[in-house]
Amino acid sequence: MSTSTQPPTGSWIDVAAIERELTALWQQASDEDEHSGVIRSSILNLLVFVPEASEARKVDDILTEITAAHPSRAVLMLVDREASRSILNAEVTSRCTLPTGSSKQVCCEQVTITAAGSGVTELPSTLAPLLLSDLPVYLWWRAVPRIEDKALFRKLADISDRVIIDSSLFNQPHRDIASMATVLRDTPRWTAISDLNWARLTAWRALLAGFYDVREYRPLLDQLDHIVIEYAPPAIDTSAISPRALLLGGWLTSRLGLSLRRDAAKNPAESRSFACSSNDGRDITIEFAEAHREIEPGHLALVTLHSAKDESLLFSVRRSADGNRIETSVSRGDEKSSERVLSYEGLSESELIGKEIQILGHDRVYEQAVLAAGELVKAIRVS
Amino acid sequence: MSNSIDNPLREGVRLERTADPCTVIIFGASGDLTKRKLVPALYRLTQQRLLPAEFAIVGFARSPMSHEDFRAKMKDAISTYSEAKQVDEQVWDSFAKGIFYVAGDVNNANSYQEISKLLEQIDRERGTAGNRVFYLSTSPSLYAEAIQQLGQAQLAKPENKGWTRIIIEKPFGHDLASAKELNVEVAKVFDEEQVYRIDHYLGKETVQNLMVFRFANGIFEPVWNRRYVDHVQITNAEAIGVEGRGGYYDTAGVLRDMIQNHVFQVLSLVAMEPPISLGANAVRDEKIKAMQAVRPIPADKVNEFVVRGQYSAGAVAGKPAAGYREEKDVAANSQTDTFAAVKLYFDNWRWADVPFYLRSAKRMPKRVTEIAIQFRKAPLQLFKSAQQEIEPNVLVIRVQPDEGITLRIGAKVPGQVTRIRWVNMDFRYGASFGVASPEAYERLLLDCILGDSTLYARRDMTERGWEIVMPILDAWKNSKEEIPKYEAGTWGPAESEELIERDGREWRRP
Repeated sequence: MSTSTQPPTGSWIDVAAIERELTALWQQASDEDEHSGVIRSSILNLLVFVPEASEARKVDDILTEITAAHPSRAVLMLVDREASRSILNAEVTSRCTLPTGSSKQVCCEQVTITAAGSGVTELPSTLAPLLLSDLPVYLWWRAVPRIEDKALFRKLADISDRVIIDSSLFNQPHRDIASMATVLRDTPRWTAISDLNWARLTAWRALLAGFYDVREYRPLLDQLDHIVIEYAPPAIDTSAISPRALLLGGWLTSRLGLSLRRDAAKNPAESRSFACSSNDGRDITIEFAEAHREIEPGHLALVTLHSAKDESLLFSVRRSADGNRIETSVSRGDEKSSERVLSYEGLSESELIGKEIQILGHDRVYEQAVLAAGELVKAIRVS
Repeated sequence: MSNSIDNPLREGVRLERTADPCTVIIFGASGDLTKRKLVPALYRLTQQRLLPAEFAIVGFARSPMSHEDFRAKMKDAISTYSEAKQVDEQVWDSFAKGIFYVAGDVNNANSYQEISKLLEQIDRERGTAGNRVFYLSTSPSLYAEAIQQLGQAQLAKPENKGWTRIIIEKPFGHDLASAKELNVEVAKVFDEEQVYRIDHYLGKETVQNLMVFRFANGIFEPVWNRRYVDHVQITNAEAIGVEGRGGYYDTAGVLRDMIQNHVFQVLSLVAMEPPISLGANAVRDEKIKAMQAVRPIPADKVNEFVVRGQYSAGAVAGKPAAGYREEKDVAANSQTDTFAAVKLYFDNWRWADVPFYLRSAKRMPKRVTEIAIQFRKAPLQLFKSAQQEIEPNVLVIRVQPDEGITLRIGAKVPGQVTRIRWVNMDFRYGASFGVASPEAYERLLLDCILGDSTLYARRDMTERGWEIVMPILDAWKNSKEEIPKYEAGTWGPAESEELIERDGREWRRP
């Protein structure tokens, strides 16, 4: 069930009127469901920034899915900064779902704010009193974050506990990754940041880590000599390494304690190799190679970890051609000593957000991966 | 434990509980539990990447079957009973490569040699590193034999191998003597750290939440004692009857089947002192300490503390329900209890003189498991005009269904005079966390593979459960009185109302 109402609006928003409208909505929902009643529930505040009005419907649908699983007060901000006319409108909506096995509907509330022109600058001060007290605030920034945007991004991030971005939306992948790395390096105590693209890597990271949970294989992690990450370039810039591949490369670099050598990057036509050294002085090459098979832009196709020692063992995680499965194998030459196939859940945006809003605080492993990815792109620029 | 290997890639990976390579060997593999719960749970754990590639399942049962036949049966089982329903062929093929079957007899030593040979081969071919979980889900009468045979076949503590653990399904014994006997047999072959006595109730998310509720919230612990609590009620009601298990149930009854294990586990979590850590033994030490404080019920006063009952024909949720004695495989003059209400006291500082009323039954009006903590009334009644309306605060923890927590508080009705209405402050899992809870068997199997026995019953706890109920069982066995009846679809016999009303209290209507 979804009902909505619009408080009187103009070029400013009467926050008290929004709260009154929300109260009226709850009363209405209770009256309509007199017998079993409704439960109003919130475990967080979710602020969503959407710069394209055309995306509003899609994001609205995603919010329906998110709030069904994670009851929240959602504030959807539809923003047109380029408009000449100043607009600031609000609409309140309640969303009710009937959880499995329950007799009562669970309802959450959404405030949709449309802001344009100079009205955009009023957004942070309008939002602050709308937040439910004591509950964590997540800002889902569905655009490229610009740290220099002090009027909006910085202010909204400042009132949030966690900012969720999606580096697959980066329109200049190398520059934007470097920029994120700079933010994390210069302001390590700032609001925590999550990246949906990082969450998309969870399965890959878990499977790669899983190889070395086996006692027999663990020593080989210290004997790696060649890492290959095969990816499809992002659609926006086909000459760039996809942010997902860079994050994975950054993760491996940081977790294994590798440092890039001077003149680390080599740039042949279709692959980029980085010469690294381990803490104990071994040479390790990280190679980013374009996938030669059909796969969605920006996605990973294959990751291999090669250990020269012990008859040259190769650990690989590969996404199947149809994208629905993920295959892992350990091979010694042509002989595969272990292999398995698992379903590959291409998580939807709402599922990814659902996972991110379960986490509070800084994800240091992610932050170190971004810092290392920043070093990789810096090396490309230098070469 | 699996995470003992220092793996820098593991840090920060959100799926932190990954297990060691291992083989799970299921005794009684042609039974219902294997297809309904165990294999679907292991399949799902694999899909969630919580089990490693170096993993295998060996089914062991009497029915002659090839590996392929067993795989086909398990594939059907997953399609029927798993959430996944549709099985991806390639994913299944990969999983099925790790499934094997041995046809044999629990009493036959040769069968164990065959299992042993197969396990060696699996270790070599699938890298399962000699780590093994034996899962006993045969008829309980075969447990002791299976354990002895495992010992004789050197499968319980193999030398130069990885770890070996054994999961034992309920019921653990039929009475105190048989439970002790079984524990002795187990101890001859396995160390206690290797033994995992399953009580699937402990795998339920809401039961685990009891610990979080009590020990992660600072405001409840100070009032969780005799000073503020008037009494506690634990209700475990089922709407169903014996559902074709009449033959088994008629030899057990609700006191054996539910109260001495499941309800006592819940009771111990409510009554225990805070543990010093969440380590398996720290938690289980506190649970057994609480249960050891349960005041024994004197043999000659069983009727003062316990009421039994048996359902007669009636109706549940609008549908006619046959009486217990009319159920298939139930004796026509059966005296088996399908209802039991027990009043217990703890002889310790925290709970001295606070009665705990427990009731469990079949064919109740609805399925519900809940714990109700009823607090004492306010010491001074200030609101004279509303004196009749003063009630105690009640905290209700619902385990199933509609899992959640409700606190009942008094509030002023708006108006010129002071009138008080009692309102519920409700927290519902489904409302706050829309994510599905893992199946109890998934959680418990994974815990065993990880070497975490916190949610399993320890030897002393199984025996203590029986010790508490034995005077009751003995009294009932010797009683000449006809078991009280209650109509199916009601909350039990009139005697159960009297049990609590004698104390000036009444049962909650859940």
